[in-house]
Amino acid sequence: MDSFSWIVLSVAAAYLLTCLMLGLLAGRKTSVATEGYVAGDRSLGLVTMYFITGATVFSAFAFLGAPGWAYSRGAAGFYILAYGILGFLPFYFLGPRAARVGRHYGFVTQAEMVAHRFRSPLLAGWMALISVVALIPYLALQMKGAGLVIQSVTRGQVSPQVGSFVVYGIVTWYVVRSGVLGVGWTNTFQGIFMMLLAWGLGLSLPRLLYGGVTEMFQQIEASRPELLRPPGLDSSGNPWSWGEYSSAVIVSSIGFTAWPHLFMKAFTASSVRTIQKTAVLYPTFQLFVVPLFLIGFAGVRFSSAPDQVDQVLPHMLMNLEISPWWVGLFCAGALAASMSSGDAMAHAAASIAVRDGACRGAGWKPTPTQERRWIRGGVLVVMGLSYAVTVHYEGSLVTLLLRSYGAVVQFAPALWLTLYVPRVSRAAVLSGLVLGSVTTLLLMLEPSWRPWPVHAGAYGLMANVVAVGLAQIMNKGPEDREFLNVAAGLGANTGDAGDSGDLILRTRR
Amino acid sequence: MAQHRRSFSFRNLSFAAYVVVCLVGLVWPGYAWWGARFEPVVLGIPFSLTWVIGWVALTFLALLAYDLTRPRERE
Repeated sequence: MDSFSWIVLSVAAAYLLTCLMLGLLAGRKTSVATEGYVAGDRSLGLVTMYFITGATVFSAFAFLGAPGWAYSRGAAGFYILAYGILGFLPFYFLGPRAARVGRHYGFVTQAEMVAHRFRSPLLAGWMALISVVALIPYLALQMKGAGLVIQSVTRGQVSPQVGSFVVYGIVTWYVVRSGVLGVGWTNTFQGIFMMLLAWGLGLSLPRLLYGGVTEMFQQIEASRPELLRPPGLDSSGNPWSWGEYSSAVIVSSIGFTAWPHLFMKAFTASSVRTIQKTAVLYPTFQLFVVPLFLIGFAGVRFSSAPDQVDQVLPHMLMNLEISPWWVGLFCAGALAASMSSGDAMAHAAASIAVRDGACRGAGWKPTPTQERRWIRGGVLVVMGLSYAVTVHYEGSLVTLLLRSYGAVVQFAPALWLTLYVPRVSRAAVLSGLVLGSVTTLLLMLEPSWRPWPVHAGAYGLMANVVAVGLAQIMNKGPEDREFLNVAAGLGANTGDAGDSGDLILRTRR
Repeated sequence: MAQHRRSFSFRNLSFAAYVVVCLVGLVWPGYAWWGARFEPVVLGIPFSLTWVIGWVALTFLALLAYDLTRPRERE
């Protein structure tokens, strides 16, 4: 290996070691029970919550994909910024309610909460299945991203398989050891790191290549104005439709908080106020996408084109003759984006498979220590499966991911019904979930069946809501005041001041 | 009952109205009619991107205002 690759790899190695140390240190504080491992004993404060939710959302896909979209599809990429604006709002309303019922009944996953409210192991099993099936390709995508970054910064001297194996070996180590606190502490470090790096690159690349951001956009406006006009272009370079753009924003906004690895973090917060403050501050994290767009636009008039659009950022860095130290930092930043999402996904998938699938769905009753041991084993299994997908799957992972996303979006109505509506029947929630996900999957496999060019998840959501509505008209279901009183913080034993409360939730059961 | 009345308060209604306006501004037709242009350039950034960044800032302020005015009678 040449000295360039050595410097790049040693910067990346220093970064990985720091993550590992932080991740292992974090685990020394948790209790032995599942609640400690999965929900961090409900102790996470504002700073950790802010970074755990922010950095979890911004994955390798955002770090490489957002510049790729801006570079190839122009303003179409702005949808990534747009959906995040309203996407986190539901967390302000759902999060505190989930935290209260979680503390009262001892929930650590979303399926557990929904299944308890409707007394249905089938619901838990179905949601667990969809969550795990959706999270594995997502995690594989993160691993693939990490491997590709290492491959490109070492000019192919380290293969992507070796790269992702080393990086995710470290992630597995700290997730197995420390659970959610390992995820939280490392995400704080990784979040700060990738934000600094994105802004650094986003401002310096346009300056280096065009003399500044203003000059860059003026040159693009003069040569390719269609890139700067929404809704931008589609993946083959033709103008995108407003229907597709708008429905992509709406479906993603609604589905955003339904992702299990994100929603579950409501159960980790130390208080209701922490969740509300996180939701209020969240848009400031969202601004991190802006420099990523600048990076992508900087590639538009670059002297050479990358092989794949997602490689635009590493491609520019490797062809610019800049110091290997900077390339090493970029590599660490991209790994941070990949790892900060991958760790949360592996942790969530394993917790859900054991807790919802085996315990709630199949009725297994382990002791807390047994359960924790099984979840740790689950992390290893999930990591292994995802690694196998990364190495062996030949097709497009993004397509696989988009399909599973459509199914996860269908959780959203179930979450609102569970936490806000007093009289809902089990049949309504179940039929909505099943019809919604089946409709979405069908229309994703057969896009020509769609009456209008709108995101398949939108049809799924419509089917979902209609099914819930019809089932409700036929049978409204029993009233569950008690659950909703706990959710709203009105019960005598919740220990806080209700939906408007500032006090820390202390009592359990 | 107190909780029931609160859920239809002016505060909740105006926040819901903001969310609708924001959504319309971010997709068709709002974005297509008012945001889809290059000029005016703000800090070097084309207006089509400034428009979306503006909604990030406005939503932050709206949620902050909603949060600061939350009822505290039961504390």
